[in-house]
Amino acid sequence: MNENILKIDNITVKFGGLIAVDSFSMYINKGELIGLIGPNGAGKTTVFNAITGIYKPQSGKIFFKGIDITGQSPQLINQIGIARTFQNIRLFSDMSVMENVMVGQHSYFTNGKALKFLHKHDPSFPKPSWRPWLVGAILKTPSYLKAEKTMKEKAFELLKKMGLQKYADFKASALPYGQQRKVEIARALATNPSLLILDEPAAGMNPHESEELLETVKKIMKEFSLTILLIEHDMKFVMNLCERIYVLDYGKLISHGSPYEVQNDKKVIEAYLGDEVYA
Amino acid sequence: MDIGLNALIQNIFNSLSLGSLYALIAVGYTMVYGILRLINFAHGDIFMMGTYFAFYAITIFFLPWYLGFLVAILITGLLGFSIEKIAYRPLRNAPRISSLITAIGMSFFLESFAVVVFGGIPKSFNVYPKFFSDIILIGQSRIPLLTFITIGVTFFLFLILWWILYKTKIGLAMRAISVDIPTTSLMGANVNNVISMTFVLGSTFAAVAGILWAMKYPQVQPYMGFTPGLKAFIAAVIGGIGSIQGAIVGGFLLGFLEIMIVGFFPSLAGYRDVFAYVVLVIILMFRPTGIFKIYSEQKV
Amino acid sequence: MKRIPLKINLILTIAFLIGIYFFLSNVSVLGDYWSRIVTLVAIYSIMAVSYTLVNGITGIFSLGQAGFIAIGAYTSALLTLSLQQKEMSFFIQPLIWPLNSIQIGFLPATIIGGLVAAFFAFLIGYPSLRLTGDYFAIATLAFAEIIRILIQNLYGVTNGTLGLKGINPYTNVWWAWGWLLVTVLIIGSLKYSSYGRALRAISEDPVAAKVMGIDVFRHQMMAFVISGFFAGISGALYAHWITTLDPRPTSLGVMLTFYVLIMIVIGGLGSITGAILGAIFFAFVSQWLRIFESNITIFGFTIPGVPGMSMLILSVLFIVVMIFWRRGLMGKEELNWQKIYNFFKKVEVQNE
Ligand SMILES: Nc1ncnc2c1ncn2[C@@H]1O[C@H](COP(=O)(O)OP(=O)(O)OP(=O)(O)O)[C@@H](O)[C@H]1O
Ligand SMILES: [Mg+2]
Repeated sequence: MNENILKIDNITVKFGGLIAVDSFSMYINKGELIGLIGPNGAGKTTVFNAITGIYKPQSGKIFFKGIDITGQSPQLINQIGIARTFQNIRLFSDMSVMENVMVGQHSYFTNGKALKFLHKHDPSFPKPSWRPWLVGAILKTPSYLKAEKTMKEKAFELLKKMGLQKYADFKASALPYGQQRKVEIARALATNPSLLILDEPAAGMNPHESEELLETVKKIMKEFSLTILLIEHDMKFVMNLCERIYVLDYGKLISHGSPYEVQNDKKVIEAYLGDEVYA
Repeated sequence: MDIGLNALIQNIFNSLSLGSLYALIAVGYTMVYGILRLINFAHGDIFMMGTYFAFYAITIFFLPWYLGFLVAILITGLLGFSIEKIAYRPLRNAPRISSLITAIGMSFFLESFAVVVFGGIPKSFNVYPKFFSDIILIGQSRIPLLTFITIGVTFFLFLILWWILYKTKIGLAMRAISVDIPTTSLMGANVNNVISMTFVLGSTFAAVAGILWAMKYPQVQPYMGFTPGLKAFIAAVIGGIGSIQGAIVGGFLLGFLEIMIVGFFPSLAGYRDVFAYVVLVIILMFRPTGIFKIYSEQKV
Repeated sequence: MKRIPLKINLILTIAFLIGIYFFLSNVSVLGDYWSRIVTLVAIYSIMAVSYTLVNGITGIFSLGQAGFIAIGAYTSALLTLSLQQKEMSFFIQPLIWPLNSIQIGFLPATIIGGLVAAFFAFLIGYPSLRLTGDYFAIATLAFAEIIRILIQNLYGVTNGTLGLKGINPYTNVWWAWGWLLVTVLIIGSLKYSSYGRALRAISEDPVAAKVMGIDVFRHQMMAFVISGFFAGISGALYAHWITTLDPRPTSLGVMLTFYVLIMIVIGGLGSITGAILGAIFFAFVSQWLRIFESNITIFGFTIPGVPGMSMLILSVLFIVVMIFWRRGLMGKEELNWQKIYNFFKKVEVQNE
């Protein structure tokens, strides 16, 4: 049972009268690569927002590694191992690419609360010890400088893996769109996640770039032993990459299975056709 | 017992008149916030300028008081119009904090302007007809006529406001725009005109409140707008900022609170100005949307 | 453009600091009046740098700065006032114990002033930081007003409307500039650390920062408390510079917050060096503009001075900066030798 790295149990998210996600359930096993698809406005991003703690579902529960994380704060959820990217890129645009990635590492060095939380649920996790990190950072103590150096090296390594090293000192907002999406992934990886969730990572990329991204995603998945959940409109991308696919329409799960099964599901075809007629 | 009852009646009338003034100012804050999401920090100073305009219209230009008041109200409306056009419009698409900072600067500007042009020394506002101070007896309670005038004028202005908002085209546009600027402009309404009109309306209300205020505490000075302005803003937050009913209800609530607490606990008189701030903090902590909830969380 | 090597950077910085040292040692040449202004510049700079940590670097808009300055000022003054002076001043209501029987040195009093202000920043930050944007601004303004009204009414502690008089004029050029150096070193070091990156991230996009695992509330609180501490320090220095304190809105009230806001807006929200430049600008321009406030005699004609003129001109300038030049002098960046070099290089190229 604890093989599920993520388990969503009947969650419902409402905005006023609008039911954006309607008793939706899903699970992800460790090491899987899962797709979440559906027409525009189906509620996919809202599911991500519920997982990452930005919205609290009105009912239902979300478990991560068997721990109930429903209604926990976004920072805590990140600290225990879920990282994400945004559909509408949300980089820190005034900061350099390198700094963006280093922001991702910050809490990893100061995550007392997350460690406490994990320790409570599973005593095999180490008990957090208080480190006077802020004072060290201000006085620039040797141990701080060492940590800062490690952060820099790690960040640079990550950038290299994403093929972004030549942009390290660029302002994030100065990069082309496709590269910015990759920086978002690097920044998410910097938080040391075990589950990475990507909201339309290939949006706005040309076929060549999206091909490249596909390879990168496969590569990082292996290298960081990640589990990945992604939303994507690019069907080729999803069908090539994902082991299982969930399909949402009007907040409801309408289909679930292997790419082949989903592709041939009548309900899915109807949902997408209907979407095209009205779009 | 009789004395207690008299004091109570007196306090109720005082609360109603103070509440009227807060409500009149609060409406201006809430309308601007509803449309631009801007705390018009200078609103309290527009209120102050209104009283000076009235003062000088009567003392220097020798207008009869009713004409002087009317002219002052119109000029204040014009002032609100120009402030929006000169200082706020260029920043409409800037980060919201920039407009807030500009509004603070505008408040500072109006205060310094008043110090320079009108002088920093308080002036006695004795330009209104003497019969306003006549005492009317209700039972044993002595209520000045001005209190009734204040309440009556406020009530009348709110009727006009209701008429504008619900029976005129510009009112419809104002209500639509506070929900969604882009859509409203698609509907063909001239957004700039509607925003200007909102400032004019809010400023005239502030001028009326200022004149009534200056007659009640017969004095004018450059910094007189700060505290009433801040409190009226708090009233708008209590009611739910953006909501006009909310601003009115909040204004009266605050008026009652201030008068009644001091009425029952006279030793707290020195802290009278603190109540509003404390209420503000409590409201913001537990129900930041105020009584009439208008805004929900923003989309991620 | 050519990059300035680290060594030269270091040498220039040391030379600059030595230059400042010589300037300050000989400041008395300028006369009493101007050396007081030079001291005031440092006090203003501390106010501005601590304010920009919150309003610029962390990107939350507080309007409560004057409250913390006032707390620092009153706390330290009550600690350094002589016992006779206390007895003389507090004639409506005697000063409460233990304040009526202690007198301590300037340095500990300053530090205690900063700590008390920091503690209040914590108390105020706790509820206020749950709010965002303009709600936070209004809440902090309300708290600052509450502080001011309390000061005005607690006769047994603050002497109420009578204020405090006869505070020892301890603050000299060295104290003020020394504390400024400490402030800049600490807040600068914070800005250029992992925490500073987190703060800048929060100022750009708090939601994205949260999702990166950053505890936004805690970080904002940290910045707010540190800012409160240095605001308290600046208040303590100010009290022992001006030697009398009173709780009017125009002295330690919202007006002071406006002044500091002018400094950091002109300097560029989020820049430490910008805040200092803004403070220097404000101190000198507001002094210089005073000529409009006293009578001017030209060829035997006397133009009467207009009180309040300096603030009027500054407020116009402030609005103009906001509309046309929102970056201010420095934007979010810091002045360094490279920038100065680039600037002169550009001027040179244009002149050719
Ligand atoms: N904060 C919010 N407030 C109100 N409605 C919201 C909010 N967030 C999302 N919605 C609504 O919920 C529904 C689902 O939105 P969501 O963004 O999850 O769709 P999506 O599947 O990600 O669509 P897309 O493919 O366009 O990204 C939409 O109708 C959207 O308008
Ligand atoms: Mg989406």
